[in-house]
Amino acid sequence: MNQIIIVGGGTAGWLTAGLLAATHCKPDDAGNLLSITVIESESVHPIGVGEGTWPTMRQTLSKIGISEADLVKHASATFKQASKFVNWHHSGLGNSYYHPFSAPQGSANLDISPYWLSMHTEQGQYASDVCFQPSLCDEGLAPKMSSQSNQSFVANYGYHLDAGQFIELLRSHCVQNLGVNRIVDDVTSVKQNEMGICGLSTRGHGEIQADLYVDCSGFSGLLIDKELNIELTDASHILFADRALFFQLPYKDPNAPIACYTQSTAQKAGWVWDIALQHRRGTGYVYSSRHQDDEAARETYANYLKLHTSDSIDASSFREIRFKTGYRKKFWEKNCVAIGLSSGFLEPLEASSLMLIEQSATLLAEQLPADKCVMASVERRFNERLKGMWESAINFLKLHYVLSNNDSAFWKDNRSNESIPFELSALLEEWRLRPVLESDFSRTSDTFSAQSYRYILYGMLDKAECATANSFYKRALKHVDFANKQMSLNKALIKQLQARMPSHRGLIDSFFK
Amino acid sequence: MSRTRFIPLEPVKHKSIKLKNDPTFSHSKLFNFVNIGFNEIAALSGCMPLVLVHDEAADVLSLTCCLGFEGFGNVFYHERQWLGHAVPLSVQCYPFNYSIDEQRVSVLIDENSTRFTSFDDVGAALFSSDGHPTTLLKQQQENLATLLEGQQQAKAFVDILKQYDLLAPLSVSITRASGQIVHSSNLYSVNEEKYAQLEADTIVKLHKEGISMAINAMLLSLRQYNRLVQLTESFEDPAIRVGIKLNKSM
Ligand SMILES: Cc1cc2nc3c(=O)[nH]c(=O)nc-3n(C[C@H](O)[C@H](O)[C@H](O)COP(=O)(O)OP(=O)(O)OC[C@H]3O[C@@H](n4cnc5c(N)ncnc54)[C@H](O)[C@@H]3O)c2cc1C
Repeated sequence: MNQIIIVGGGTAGWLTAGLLAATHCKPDDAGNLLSITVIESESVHPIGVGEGTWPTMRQTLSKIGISEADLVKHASATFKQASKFVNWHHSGLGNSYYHPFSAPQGSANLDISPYWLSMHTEQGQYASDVCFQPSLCDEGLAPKMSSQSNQSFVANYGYHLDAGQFIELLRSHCVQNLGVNRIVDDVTSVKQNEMGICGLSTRGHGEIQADLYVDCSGFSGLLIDKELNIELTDASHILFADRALFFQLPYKDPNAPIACYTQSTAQKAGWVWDIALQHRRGTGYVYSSRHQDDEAARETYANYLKLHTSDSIDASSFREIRFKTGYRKKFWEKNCVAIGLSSGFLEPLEASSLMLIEQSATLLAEQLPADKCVMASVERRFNERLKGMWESAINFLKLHYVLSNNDSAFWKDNRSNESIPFELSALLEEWRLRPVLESDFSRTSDTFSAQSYRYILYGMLDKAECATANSFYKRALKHVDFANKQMSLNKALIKQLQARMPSHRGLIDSFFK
Repeated sequence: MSRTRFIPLEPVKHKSIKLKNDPTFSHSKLFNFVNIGFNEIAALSGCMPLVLVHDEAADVLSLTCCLGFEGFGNVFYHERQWLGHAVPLSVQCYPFNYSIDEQRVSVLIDENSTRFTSFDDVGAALFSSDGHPTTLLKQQQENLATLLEGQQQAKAFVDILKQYDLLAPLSVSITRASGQIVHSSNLYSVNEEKYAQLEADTIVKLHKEGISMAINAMLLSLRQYNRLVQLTESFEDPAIRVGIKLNKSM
């Protein structure tokens, strides 16, 4: 295996190129380097959204060799510490809750949530009672002291970034520092034989061949769909959204505080994302066209935006994307691997797309078959692992919907039994009677951990539901003192951090000194 | 040197001022005594004498550390560095200070301090571009909170010493190379013997509150007068000897 061609220069294409090139950067015994070429079209632009990441992006970028300072300076990056869900569920404790990236206090030793569930009187919101991070988010404080990385306290975080600038940063790093070849051209047709793809015709560069082809061509799925005809496993009966409107909001004051979480606000037939970068916010309304017509959706979205800006909003300037929720029946077929939007799409509720790109590309780089003769077994392993990850992500996204008590048709339909995957509904039944356990998620493809499930589930439960969720398990609660201590340590830590941490914008300032 | 003038720190008005570092704490160059907090006793007692100073005009007795003698100023000051391993918190806090106004604590700054500048390339900002305190200012606020707490505890400590009648006048005199003798007046320390005679219950109570430890540290710290004498070596007409007498007859 000496040559890889990646079709598509969006976030997926360049992240994959970077991870492959950084992993296989030395020559083999015969002196051959792995040659990686990205073909990107000048006429078909990358999708231009996808601005929220997981904490995994830190490791991914460090593998590729891009520093955090470069990301902040050249991709308008800010720090994401949590997702905040507003109006997803109305409960006595308020209309919003956080899914923070940091683990609950004491997690290394014990999961304290069952103890929290049985605290009837002093119980506040789950995430704030067990973790300091919601308070940092509420106060607009940074996850770390300054741009220097040698610091004693660092909360877990991912990034918000400008998709267009991010692609440029990845591209120039890959080309200049990692030896990735770049061809700006359109792939006009694809040739196939029994081994798979055997050549790409381009408008200006003739026919190009490689040992392995990575399809990062976005929704068009140039190789995996159009050429190899691998269908999607449709998941739109589980996650109903099929359209997104999006729009960028500038800050009125260029020095306005920057939110350090992705806010998702529930709407009549979907939800609005709101991501704060250094100089603007990126927002979008993800909705189900079966439950709201386009005009009404534009109005819903405009109403949200009006709450956040005094500028007049022109609903006709919203950009629109239509999508189908689902994932390929196979991600790897013969000598072609699909990564990014070509491999499937999930609504961006928990920023799982970029994470799945990172996971797929890392797995590909790790498992890269040395020779065609072992391709089939790598293909099988890759497909199994990715299928598990997508299913796990779908279950987790669905969890957000099934716990809502919103009564509009979209939300009610989301709670219908037919729409809930069996595995999730079985777990939900159990969780009515006992806490969420680590052992509920033991597969390597379980991308979302028990910790994440707890933040969502207990973020939405009411007090009475918390109590029943724990009555059976009470017999196993042997460490009450330890748990109570963690909760008071959490309070103390919150106070300390409030006294010490800079604001989120203050942290960004420190990169520009 | 311009006069110290503390004014309230205001996020809008002081948005763009920067603080320059001064590892020598030059503003304290002429200080002899500095008020300290109860929580500083342990850290400072191994470096400088800790004594009580009676301000006759206000009739207030304060817990202080002694940094030097009349005619010498602060002997820990040196143009390149501070000559001790410990620096009193109030000296570290400068050019910040606090005031208490109907239970509300506000941060003050010395508007005449040369440590403040508005040039971008020297010094560190107090506020980030969104007007929020920077880590530097937050650190100062924390120091001020510690200072305030310590000074309140110091007052309570002095009250206890008075309540149990444990004060003993301290006379300190230094002899300079020229033979000139300088006396310090209005100083007090603790009468150890009286302390030892307190009722057992009281001693247990004071021990628990950390008072005994503080008293011991104060008494031991008087040895540091010798260090002060040594530190005058580089001065003209340095001190060569110090005499300390604790009057326990009162
Ligand atoms: C509304 C919305 C919001 C999203 N929000 C998030 C989020 O917050 N977090 C997250 O993780 N993900 C999010 N995503 C997903 C994320 O945007 C994508 O996963 C990511 O941008 C990767 O896209 P891509 O590179 O696969 O495709 P694209 O960006 O579409 O890139 C396709 C590339 O293929 C090239 N190409 C296409 N055809 C040809 C051809 N014939 N010849 C040559 N080149 C060709 C194009 O030039 C382009 O370079 C969101 C997606 C949508 C739709």
